[in-house]
Amino acid sequence: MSGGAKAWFQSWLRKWNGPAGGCGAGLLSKSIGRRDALKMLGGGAAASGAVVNAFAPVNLLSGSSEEREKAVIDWKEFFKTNYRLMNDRERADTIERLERKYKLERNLDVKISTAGPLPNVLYGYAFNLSKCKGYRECIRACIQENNQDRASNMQYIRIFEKPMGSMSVESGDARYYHEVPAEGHFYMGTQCFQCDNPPCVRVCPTGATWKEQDGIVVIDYDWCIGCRYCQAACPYWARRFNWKEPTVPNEEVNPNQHYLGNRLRKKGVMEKCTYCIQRTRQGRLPACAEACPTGARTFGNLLDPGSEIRYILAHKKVFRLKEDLNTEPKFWYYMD
Amino acid sequence: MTIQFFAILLLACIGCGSEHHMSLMEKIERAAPAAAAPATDSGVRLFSVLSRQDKLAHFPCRGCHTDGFNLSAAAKRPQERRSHWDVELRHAPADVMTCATCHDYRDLNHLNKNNGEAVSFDEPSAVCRSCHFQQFKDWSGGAHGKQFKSWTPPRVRYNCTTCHNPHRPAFQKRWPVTYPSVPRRYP
Repeated sequence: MSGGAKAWFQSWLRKWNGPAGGCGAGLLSKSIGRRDALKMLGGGAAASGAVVNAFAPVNLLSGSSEEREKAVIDWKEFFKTNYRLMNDRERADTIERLERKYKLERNLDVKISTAGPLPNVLYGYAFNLSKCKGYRECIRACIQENNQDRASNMQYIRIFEKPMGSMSVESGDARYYHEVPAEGHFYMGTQCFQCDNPPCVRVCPTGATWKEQDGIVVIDYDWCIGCRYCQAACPYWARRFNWKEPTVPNEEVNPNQHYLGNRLRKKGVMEKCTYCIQRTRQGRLPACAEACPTGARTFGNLLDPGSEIRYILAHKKVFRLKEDLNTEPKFWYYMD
Repeated sequence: MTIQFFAILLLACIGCGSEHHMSLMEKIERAAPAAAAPATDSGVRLFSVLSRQDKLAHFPCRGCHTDGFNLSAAAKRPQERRSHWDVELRHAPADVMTCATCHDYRDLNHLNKNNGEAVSFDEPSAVCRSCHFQQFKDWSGGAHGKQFKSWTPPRVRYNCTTCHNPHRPAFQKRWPVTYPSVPRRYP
């Protein structure tokens, strides 16, 4: 904190110290860090009306109780820590705040999960190139499931139309819009491959993205600073950035959410496919796999020798995109 | 010189044993070795299939076809209203298959296999595999067809006829359901 800002902050603390008495005096007499001091302000604000008047930010002093509650939530949300460092209590608190925030701001009832990885599970995906017909049903399901920005038509999945006889990713056309399947073409879907050796994770300067135990690469949207290093590092163009505040109409919001998955994002953060973490950790299929009308998509547990995905790896000629980069994607392509 | 070479080789071999150099597939195989391939002809199936009979609009077929179906008799009455006017057989050339290839004319509540054995509408794969043995093998293992809602055991798969219209099994041409969204500069 610069000198001027520090002086202002101290005078601001003193100014509001008067009416509340003892509590504020204790705050000032103790030597504490900036983050702790600000957190305590938020904590005090929630305790009682009088304390709210004394310690909450200045713009809180007027306004309805709902507005004050919202400001307190925002204040506490701003100073919460990285999801990986939170204990169960802190996680429960932030979920409660977020759910309340959506209720206050948008009159939305959502359920945000913090379900952890299932034991002895490593997710894998297989894509049958001879089955995909390019209908883009998976993309529609993905948008609806994951609350992606409707204004910019954000999509995690891309379906490339490629001429028969070509295998190069360079020759693919993801912008096709005509009746499909087109004569003499095949279709290849891409999304985040949840690499086992993810280059995006390595470049993140704030530790906002990481690989979970079950192999899913996730993002803490409240810890992302939007530098887009990960977007540049991903060799598969799998990451998306919110240039504007994402818009999803209330009636289209999927209320079954996960903290690391499809909860509503904000302007200036990255997002990407999480294999529908909110579904798969409940044992369900990702929305794309469930929506696929041709059965081109298979999802399963790589550590279960009886799973469909393991059968494909053992009995089909599979390949992965850009294997020479040693990113080890957990997404295989195969043909009949 | 030779000793140095072997020393380096030895060090390299030790290095390979560490987790860092293991490929993803090696890690997976080490954690859970592959099971023996399921024997597709053993009759033992490790998954269940979606039912089909309850979704047929006209079932039970014997409601109308009380005593089977006589093709030559029916062919003599072309002016009669045809109940199955919407059925158009575009599965295989006429010299390869007819209605009777799958439907049992003696008892229309059932399908029939190549050997004449009756099969329930809930188990069409028993009929389909007569010709599509490769697809049946893939489907039995999980490389063809669709999982039903869940990736966890107990496994449930789609039936052949959940996805394929048996009278016209190929997927039809149609428009994609969403517009593309790809920035101009990106692939």
